[in-house]
Amino acid sequence: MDEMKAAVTLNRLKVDPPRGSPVIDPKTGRQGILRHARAVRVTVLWDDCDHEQFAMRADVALDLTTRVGRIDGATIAATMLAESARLDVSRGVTWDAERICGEAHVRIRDGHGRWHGIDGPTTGDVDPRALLAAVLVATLEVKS
Amino acid sequence: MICVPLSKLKVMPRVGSPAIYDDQPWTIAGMLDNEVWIVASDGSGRTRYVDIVHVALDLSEPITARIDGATVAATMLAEKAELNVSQGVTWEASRGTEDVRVSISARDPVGYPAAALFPRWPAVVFSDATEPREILAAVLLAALGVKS
Repeated sequence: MDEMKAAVTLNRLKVDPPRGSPVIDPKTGRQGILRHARAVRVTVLWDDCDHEQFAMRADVALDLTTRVGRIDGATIAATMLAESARLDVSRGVTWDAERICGEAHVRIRDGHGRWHGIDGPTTGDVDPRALLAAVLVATLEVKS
Repeated sequence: MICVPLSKLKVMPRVGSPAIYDDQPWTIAGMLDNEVWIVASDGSGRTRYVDIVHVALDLSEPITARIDGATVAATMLAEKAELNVSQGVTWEASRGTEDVRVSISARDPVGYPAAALFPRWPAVVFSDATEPREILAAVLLAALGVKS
């Protein structure tokens, strides 16, 4: 899988991931955790730096790939989608993604068994995390 | 405040987990032997290397934009049960007359829906906890606690 397909730059989202979310620099592949999100800039604690640094939102992406020893960004994304669908995320969420007739579809289920299906854009991706990323952008994208 | 001291756990929470240090909210940014690298959640940019005995995993319901420590704890339990956590986990707490239990739902290694119950029968966790997150904290300690 192209791991950049499973990453969403923060300038495309109108809802910010919570503090502690795994992030990646799409240009360099540098990894870190999100500290604070502001209107234009965010603060990130990069793995190779011992203090927070400012970065432009377009230069920081929520990382949906699996990384050893850190919070799974896909769980973060699924939780954001669940919150947008007004599901109860206090008992966790699970998710499924598949491509049907060329379109991405994600289904989120909360801890009470309630679920919400979300249709995404037409895509050539088949990897579940890339599909989740596409649906996240389609659902929470910034409308200009 | 519902929390579990890291020094009582034999499995450490992942980077990004919410933590409590000095009664303040922090985020775990890394670990090195018995030290934890934490960053403040108040936006001040403070970072600290502190001894593991002073830091706890925060299972309280997040009131700001923080990762939910209960989800972190449930994921730790699911991994202990060898469930597939890559598509998230959900959890449910219950209590009997004197004991408490937590059910974790995720996937099995093949990807089919699967569940695990903690503690595993016939073990019992006695606790006075009534709030679901308190029950989760008690069960986490019982399942992943360091035997002293």
